[in-house]
Amino acid sequence: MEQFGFFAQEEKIFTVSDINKLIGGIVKAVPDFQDCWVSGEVSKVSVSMNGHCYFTLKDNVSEMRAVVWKSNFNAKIRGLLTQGNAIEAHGYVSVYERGGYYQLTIDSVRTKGRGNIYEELEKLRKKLAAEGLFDEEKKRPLPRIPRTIGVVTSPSGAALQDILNTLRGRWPLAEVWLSPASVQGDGAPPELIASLLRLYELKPDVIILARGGGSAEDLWCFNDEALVRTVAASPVPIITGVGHEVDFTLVDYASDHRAPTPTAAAVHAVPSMSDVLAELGGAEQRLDRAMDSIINQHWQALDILEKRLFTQSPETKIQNEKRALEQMTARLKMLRKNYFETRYAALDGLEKRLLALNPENVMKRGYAFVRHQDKIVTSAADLTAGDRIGIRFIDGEKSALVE
Amino acid sequence: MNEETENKETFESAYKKLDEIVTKMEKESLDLEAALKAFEEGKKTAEQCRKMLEEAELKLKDLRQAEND
Repeated sequence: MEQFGFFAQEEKIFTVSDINKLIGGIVKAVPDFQDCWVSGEVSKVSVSMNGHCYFTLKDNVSEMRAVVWKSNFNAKIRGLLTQGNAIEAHGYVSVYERGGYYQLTIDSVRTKGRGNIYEELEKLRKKLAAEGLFDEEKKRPLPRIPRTIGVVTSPSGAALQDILNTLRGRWPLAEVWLSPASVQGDGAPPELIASLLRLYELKPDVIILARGGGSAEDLWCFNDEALVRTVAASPVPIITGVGHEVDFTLVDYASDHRAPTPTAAAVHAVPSMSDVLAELGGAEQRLDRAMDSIINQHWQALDILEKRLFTQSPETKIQNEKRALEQMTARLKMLRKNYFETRYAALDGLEKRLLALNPENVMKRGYAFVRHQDKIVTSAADLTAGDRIGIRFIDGEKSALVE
Repeated sequence: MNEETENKETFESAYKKLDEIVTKMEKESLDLEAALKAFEEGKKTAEQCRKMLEEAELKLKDLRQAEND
């Protein structure tokens, strides 16, 4: 200790924290460390009580610490972080100063070597779309009531049970032809193709191609080009139900109908029994109504015929003649009445005019007329002195002598 | 492959027949005898459809097993 004391004034003494802080700063200053993909093999995975995932990423030579915070630790990442799995992880490198080590903080993980797999998938999708495999006009309507339903899925998967339960509940009249195939891994596409081709020969009314949910890797076989081409070439309408609502695979584009889940695919494949029962009830009602209406029509036709028959009967003819006769008599009576009434009225008029001309009416006003030798005198020149005349008044006659 | 086509009349064909009978009775002026006959057949067909629905049980055939048989 003494020996070194001499130099102590010249030497800079760091604390552990200083060192760690300095290294932290250096690491932070490297842009590549802030946004990088690191490939390696997963080992020593552990999940803390808080839900964060710690593991070691290693290659043939070295290893480094890695962490996925709880907020990023989703089902897809959880699935990929299994012992020995080769992955590519994205995140940033930082120094944990308290522990004096550096680590990779990860926000996304993919299977190693699949870096541009999504680009390739998009390229394949565009190529097949350009060939017309996904054309809307190619999509066929599904049969409303299929008798036979081909199902291609794993015989041991939950998807099959979901499909069968749905069909049992909705439309148990259907017959299911199960053409089993494995639905995961590299061997899946040829098996799926063989199962589809088996059904294409038997030609059920509709085919369901289904698989339950899983990671994008699990569902990847449904993007296989040969499988997609086989789906597009189906001789019968085909429904896909692969994964969950959010999952889209290329077979979904090639099928006639894409359902979000296997259950939804089964729902689309068949009508609901309650709907069809209601329709049956409706058909029976229409049948009853049509029969009622037909019977009514016949009653009406019968009524009309009966009426026509009645009008042709002798009794009706006599009645009609009688009625005509009565009408004629009435008209005759009327004519007679009119004849006399007009004449009475004319007579009345004449009488009134006659009365107006009665000379007495004039005499009442003080006029008198003169008679000589039984002739009415109308001129003074007709009389000479000495003539005896009669003067006729309204109430009597007096004689007089003309002077 | 043994239990298929055991009864010739399928639900779909019966259902189609019922639909045709109803349409015929509604659209065409049938004479009474023909109407009564159609009505009777329609009722019978509806009953048959309902019975098929009520008695149905989903049939499952495993094609791989069928091939191996």
